Amino acid sequence: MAEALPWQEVLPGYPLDRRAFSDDAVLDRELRRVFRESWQLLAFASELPDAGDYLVRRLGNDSVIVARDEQGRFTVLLNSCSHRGTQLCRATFGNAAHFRCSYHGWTFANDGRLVGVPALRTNYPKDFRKDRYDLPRARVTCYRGFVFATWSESAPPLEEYLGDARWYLDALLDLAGGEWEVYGPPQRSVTTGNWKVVTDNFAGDGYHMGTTHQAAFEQGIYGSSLADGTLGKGELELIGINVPTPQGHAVRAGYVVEKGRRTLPAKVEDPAYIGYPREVWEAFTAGQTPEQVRFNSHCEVVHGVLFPNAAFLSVSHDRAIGREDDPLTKYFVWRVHNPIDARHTECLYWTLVPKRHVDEEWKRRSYAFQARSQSAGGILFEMDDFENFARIDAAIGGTVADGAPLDLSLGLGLGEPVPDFPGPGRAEYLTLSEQNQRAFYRRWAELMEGDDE
Amino acid sequence: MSEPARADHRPAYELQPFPPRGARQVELDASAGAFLTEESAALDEGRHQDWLDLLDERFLYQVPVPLLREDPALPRHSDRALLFEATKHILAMKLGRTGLRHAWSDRPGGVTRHFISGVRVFAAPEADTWRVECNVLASWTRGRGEAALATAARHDIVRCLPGAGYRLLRRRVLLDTEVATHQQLSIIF
Repeated sequence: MAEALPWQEVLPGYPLDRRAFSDDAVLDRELRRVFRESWQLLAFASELPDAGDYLVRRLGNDSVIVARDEQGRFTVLLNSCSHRGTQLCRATFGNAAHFRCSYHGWTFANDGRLVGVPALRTNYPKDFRKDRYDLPRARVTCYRGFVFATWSESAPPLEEYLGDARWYLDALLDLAGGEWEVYGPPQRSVTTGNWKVVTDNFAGDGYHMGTTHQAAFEQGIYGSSLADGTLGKGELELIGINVPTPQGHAVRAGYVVEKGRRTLPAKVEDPAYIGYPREVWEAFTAGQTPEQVRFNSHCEVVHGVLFPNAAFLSVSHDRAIGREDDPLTKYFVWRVHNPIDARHTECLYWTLVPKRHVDEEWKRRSYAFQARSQSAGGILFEMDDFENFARIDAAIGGTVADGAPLDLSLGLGLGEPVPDFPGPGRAEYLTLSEQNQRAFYRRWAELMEGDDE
Repeated sequence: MSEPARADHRPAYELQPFPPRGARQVELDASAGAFLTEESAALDEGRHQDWLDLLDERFLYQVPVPLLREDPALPRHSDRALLFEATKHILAMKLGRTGLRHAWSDRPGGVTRHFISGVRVFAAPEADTWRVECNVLASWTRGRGEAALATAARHDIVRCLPGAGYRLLRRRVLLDTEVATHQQLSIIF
């Protein structure tokens, strides 16, 4: 390889080069060292309201059953019979107290215990112990309705794993009364491109907006009406703030400020929650700490990543994709990006809506704006994002291409710390920066580095 | 052709369940099938304005989220979640992208083919409207290696205007695959 580029000095010993986006050997290592050792977002509690409800999801490259057992607890079980390895659940969701294998009939309770073995008394050795064949269970933590799991026995507790990102997650949820629900079953699609390419875009990539989504701006899908729609006509502009974390999580928030202003106001006189009905602003403010109000007020867009493969985005649209009288309406989408192989990624999308303060019409419009713009079939973000992810995939893997450099130096050393930023971590002003992506890949490289045991 | 001004139907219109099947209208199968053939041709040949002219002003296009359930008797698609939803205005923007230099996913453009079969017409609750069901095999191809095939059931609500033929009021696309690729989802079915 050529000599190290400046941005590479922020990465530990494992190289980030183009093979990281195409090589199945790199993915194998990621599955063992990144996915197996990390907490991953699997589901939302509101998808599993009743005892016996289950979903089939992926944890790394393993099929797992996410179930709510008879005591109401969440369990995450390997979806593979302990006898011959047969997949227990073929359906993607349902309700069952037991999972019975379709091959020889071994039966497991929905907490993973093996409870039934045909011909156990007559045809198995006397010392056969059913409890040695319970389904492998992942560690599960449900945090504010987000169901996370990990296969790792040594990973820290989830709240520690989230680190500073937890404050931002709390702030985003407390914005609208604290309780959210998933609108309908999640959308799923398969995209061409490595899971990291799809994910680092959410970590902090404001840089691609002007090019990738240029057509969307030209069509007025996304433009000056955003700020004007809620805050009245005025000379406004957007400033971006990046918050990377040592755990690889990242948040990027864009605020509407008066033109020429380069900092956030120290005190918010009139909190404004862009994309939510004006009538609920007061109630929103009452449900938050003063620091949360400073973080959420005048925030036009916020997106980020929970390492390794969960991403979120909250942004608004108006009549450009709705009807003439549609008010500016925000949606809040959470996603996970699961590798199918090194070059294909399955994306799950959950749109969250507040349980309180907004009516069914608002929830439906919020969901529709996500489905129209940002779902896999949508017209704004995803079409051109997926096109670029596929164009990366189409251009790597060649003998010369794999030896050519990448770059992650945008904004390196240029961000200014935000004085008195309400949230933890080193928040920096710089609307165009790859600071968050560098944090994402730094954590990735830390986990990838070192010899295998 | 100018359409009469209509009342705003949101949200009731978008939240309305898809109109149920009424009595079979065999005598309309041929004319509805001929309409769908012309409509598909407009899409496949890139005559976008011709296609948009076949949509009623309150046209609503929806692709519900497919569901893989244990019991085959239960619905295979969500009645709430959508992979995509579009109004006529949104479809005009989507098709209008081919004229924009920076609409990356449409330049170079792909080619679609719609293979329509099994067209059957049923009565629908609203006056002068019919429910038309068919099977669709759609392909999308671009360049050497990029291709997608998708099969779906398509449910349309059409209106018959005196002297002007059919117009599409609603279209629901029920994809057969549980998880579609982004190329499959790029197709307007």
